[in-house]
Amino acid sequence: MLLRTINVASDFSRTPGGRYREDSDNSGQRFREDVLVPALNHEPKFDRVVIELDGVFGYPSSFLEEAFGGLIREEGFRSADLIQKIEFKAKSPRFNTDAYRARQYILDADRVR
Amino acid sequence: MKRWEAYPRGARGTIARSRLRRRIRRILVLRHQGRKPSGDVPRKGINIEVRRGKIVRRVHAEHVTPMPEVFCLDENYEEVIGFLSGLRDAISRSFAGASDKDIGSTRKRRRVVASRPHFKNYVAFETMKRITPSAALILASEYDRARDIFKMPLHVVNYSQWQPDVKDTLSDLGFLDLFGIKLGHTHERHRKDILKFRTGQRISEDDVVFVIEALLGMLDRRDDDAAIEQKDELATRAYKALVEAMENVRLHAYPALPGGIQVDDFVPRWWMTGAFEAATGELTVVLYDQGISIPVSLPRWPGWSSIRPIFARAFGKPFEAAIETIDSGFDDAAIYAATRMGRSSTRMSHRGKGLPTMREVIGACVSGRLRIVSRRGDVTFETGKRPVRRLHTTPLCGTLIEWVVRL
Repeated sequence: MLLRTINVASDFSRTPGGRYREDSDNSGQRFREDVLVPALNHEPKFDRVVIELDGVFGYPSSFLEEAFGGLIREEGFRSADLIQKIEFKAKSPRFNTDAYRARQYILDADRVR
Repeated sequence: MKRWEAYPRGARGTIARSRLRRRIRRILVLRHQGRKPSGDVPRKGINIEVRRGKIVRRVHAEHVTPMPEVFCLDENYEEVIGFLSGLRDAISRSFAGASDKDIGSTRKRRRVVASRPHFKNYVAFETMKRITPSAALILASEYDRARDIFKMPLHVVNYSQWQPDVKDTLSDLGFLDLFGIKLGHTHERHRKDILKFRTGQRISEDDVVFVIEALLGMLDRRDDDAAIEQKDELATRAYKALVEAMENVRLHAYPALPGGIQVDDFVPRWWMTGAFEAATGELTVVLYDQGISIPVSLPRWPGWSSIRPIFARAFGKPFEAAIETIDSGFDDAAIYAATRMGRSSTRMSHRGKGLPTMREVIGACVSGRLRIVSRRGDVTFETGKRPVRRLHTTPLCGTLIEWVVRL
């Protein structure tokens, strides 16, 4: 199985910020466009993209929504494909809620499309 | 000035022309101010000491505006907010004429202000006995805003007569830095440790981290797992809340005017500070903006149209009408509605999820309080208690969000 692991803290930033690039240096938009989408569109395709959530200060809801909900809204992915392909990992229980929310944002974005 | 004989012959003409130019300039400046060159300066009023950086001058003032003795939004809300409402005009008047384009370049404008032998109005800081971090932040933002708009050096008045505790609080906050004044502490360390205020237009993750780490570093150094976990939990929740609050400022507080109209006195920023009081173990974090306020911006929030009927049922038709007409009589209800919006609109909109996050901060603590003041509305959420809504007489310009927590 071809696996790609993205550690948000080391591969992106320990301080995820706001929603858009114009508002924040470590925005959800930048994470989606510069990190997530290249991993999801990589050739050869990865069977699974594992996102490790530990090590950051926190995930503002607008960051998560733009990063993951934006995959549906802006990038045209399908939620069924993403739910199957993306796996969230969090050692600390503090980030388990964020993993749940990220998945919900994917599903919600698909619902309102 | 030296006697003529002290100058070499060749230089006397140059010196004479230079003195003549200075005399003409002074006459023109005084004429512009409406005064005679003979020195007919009004002597009514009182003598005050004006300080800008290291420069101290003695001038006359005609009218004094005393500051409230207790500058605290908990104990003396109406008087403090009433004073702050008038402060902006008072500061603008003190720069009146100096920003007039007729005077010419910035250097000339500075010389005009610096050369004034009297002040029409001044704000008497020496009457203030006590000031809290939240109120001090709003005060600092007004002067910071003025510095941004008028691009002129600021000055303090009768600094030597200020109360020592007030000097220390304002110095720690960074207020005196606006005036170029460096202060060593005047007496024994006062009770609160206050962080220098931070300000910006965009979301600043680094500033948020700085404030949180600085405050948590002031707590007692228990290193057992439970204490570390509790601090980490609080840090995470506070980080999310502050970033969301900054995003709300960016999205809602300073909307673009139609047609790209620019407003001269528009400073679209947030201001933030934190404090720790060792005696009570309380941490305070404050974020303030000078925007249009939550009640005014609420109809523009994504998801509002879906949630409006819910609050119209709860608060009645007058609430709905008030929101549409920006009537301030329901500002407290509007703030409360805004804090519920993110929860309720998850399925209806991908935005508008910020304010409920702010309440999560107090859930990580033994005791905690979140207070949101915007225009006339004032809503307080406290651990283990029902939310308290208040409607004040005097509106606050903008929105203040304050967390006070104890681990």
